[in-house]
Amino acid sequence: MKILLVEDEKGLSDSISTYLKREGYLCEVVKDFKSADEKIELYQYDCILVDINLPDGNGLDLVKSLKRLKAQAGIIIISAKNSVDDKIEGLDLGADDYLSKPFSLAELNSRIKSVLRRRKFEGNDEIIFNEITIKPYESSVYVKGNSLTLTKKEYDLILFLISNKNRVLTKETIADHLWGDDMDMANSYDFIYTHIKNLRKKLVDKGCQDYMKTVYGMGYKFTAL
Amino acid sequence: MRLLTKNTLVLLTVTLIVFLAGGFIFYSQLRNIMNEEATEALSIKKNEVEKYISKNTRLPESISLEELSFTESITPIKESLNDEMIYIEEEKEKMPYKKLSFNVIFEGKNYKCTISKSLLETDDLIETIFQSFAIIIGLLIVVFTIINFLFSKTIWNPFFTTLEQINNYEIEKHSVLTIESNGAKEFQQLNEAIKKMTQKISNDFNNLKYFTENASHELQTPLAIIKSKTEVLLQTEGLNDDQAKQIIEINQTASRLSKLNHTLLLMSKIENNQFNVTENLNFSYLVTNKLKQFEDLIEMKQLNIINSFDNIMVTIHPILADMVVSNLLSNAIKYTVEKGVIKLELTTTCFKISNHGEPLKANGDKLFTRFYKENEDSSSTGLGLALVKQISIINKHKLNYEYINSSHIFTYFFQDLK
Repeated sequence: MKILLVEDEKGLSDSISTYLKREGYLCEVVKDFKSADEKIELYQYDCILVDINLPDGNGLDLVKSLKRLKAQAGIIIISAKNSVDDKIEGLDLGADDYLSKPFSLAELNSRIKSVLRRRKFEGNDEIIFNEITIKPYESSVYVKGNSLTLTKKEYDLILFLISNKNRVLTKETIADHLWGDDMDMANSYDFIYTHIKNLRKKLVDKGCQDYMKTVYGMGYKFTAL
Repeated sequence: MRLLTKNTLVLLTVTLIVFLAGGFIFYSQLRNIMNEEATEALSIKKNEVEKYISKNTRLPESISLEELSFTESITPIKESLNDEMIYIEEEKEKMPYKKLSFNVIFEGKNYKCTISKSLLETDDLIETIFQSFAIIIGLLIVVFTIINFLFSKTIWNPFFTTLEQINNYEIEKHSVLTIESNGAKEFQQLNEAIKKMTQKISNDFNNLKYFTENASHELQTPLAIIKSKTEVLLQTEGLNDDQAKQIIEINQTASRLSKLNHTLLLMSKIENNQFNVTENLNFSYLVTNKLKQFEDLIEMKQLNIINSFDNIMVTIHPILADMVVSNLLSNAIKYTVEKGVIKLELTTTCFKISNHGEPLKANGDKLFTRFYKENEDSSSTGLGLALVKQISIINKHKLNYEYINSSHIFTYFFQDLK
């Protein structure tokens, strides 16, 4: 999977590319509008991450170019502006998603996966993790072929955990993913514990191995190791 | 007091004073002239009397007692002139007279001759003059007032146009206030000054707006870097618990800073009235949606929600409405004890939300101050309720807090009922 990251802040692009490379993506980084425009003319990407504010142009124009080129790539806009207007404009132009800074890398990763699923596999792929199968197109989870009844939040949680498997996810990252940032509550971290507990119980009851590891003092990790 | 009334009153007072002073001067001048006239008339009479005595060998006959009289005297008297009031039988009252007394020698004897002249005519004349004067003043005042009131409408018209435009001035809608005026020069000057002033206000407003927004956005990028770095760091193998804890704290603090920054930007946008586009919004739908969004938290705290909803439409910016409900609801959820009750009430006049809880440590009004925190809970920005308050102010709504029967009650009124 090839990803193009258009971001002028080196500190941020370094972290993102490190994170994505470890995820197994091929990540190319460009710092300005001009080189980004050249790259998208020449190469095919699976997903493009575009910062709106570039030193020599507006990231939204890249979205327009991509649409003009009829590129198959998924587009995620990352912006320092948490502005509804920008978001609407970006999505109207044909971007698949919009993330406002600061965002968590796990969140970005999960959004990329979701975009890729929709773009690449037209939503028909399945996520398989050992005995767990997730069918995103029907929002259902199977353990050893048996359907698992989950609440909406539990489904979001398992999808997020598996998307970021083998990584430590802090409670905050999980809370942000599940409730969005207007859930401004410290207590919500405790609720994650309850959700994790319920999900773990449901999985284990169906004969699934316990992959959800509590990393003491840090958060949770979904891993087969 | 209206300027017109003030103006008229001042002018009338001044007119009255001037006329009174003028009248007084006029009166004394007239009086003097009349007096001199009478004195002169008396001295002519005196000459006539003396001539008569020297030609004839008898004293002139007094026509009436008042006019001419002779009294014998032993010593010659000095000439004297004085005013006197003399009682007149026919009129049954005292009348003013001028008297001239002088010495005449007739047949070797001294006589005191007195000539009197009635001043009644003089007084009549002065009275008539004063009456005319009073009529003139009265007329002047009436005419003056009428003219003033009639013309003021036309004269002040440009001023009221200007006033109306200033009242309707909204900085984000019209940047500069240009008022066309064909009125008096002063009004044109006023409009010119207003134009300059609004130009400056608008510039300052825009500068401040852009600065706040830019500063706020620029801050988000470094925060994003900090957050992403800590996240990468967290994935490092072999971190010990303490290191991990520190990294997570850095990450959380960066998030907090970002949230704070975001809220402050939002507040300044609200203050600058950048959310002034309103729409007719289904408030009940919004509240129901929010409850669904907070479902997890409500369930986990095992809170009991009692709601009584009417189907209400409110004219407000949708984002602001969202913030009002979101903040009030999350506030209630946060401060309600487990298994507690939250009551929601939505009527045409207000959105009321109440929950059981311990009384506040501080005064209720303090709740709405920025950065006020009831508990030293570091995750709270202390801006949520201040934000709601701000929204209520700019929408001319009202936010109220009460503590009744150990319940915290927040009421958001859709009108400011004073």
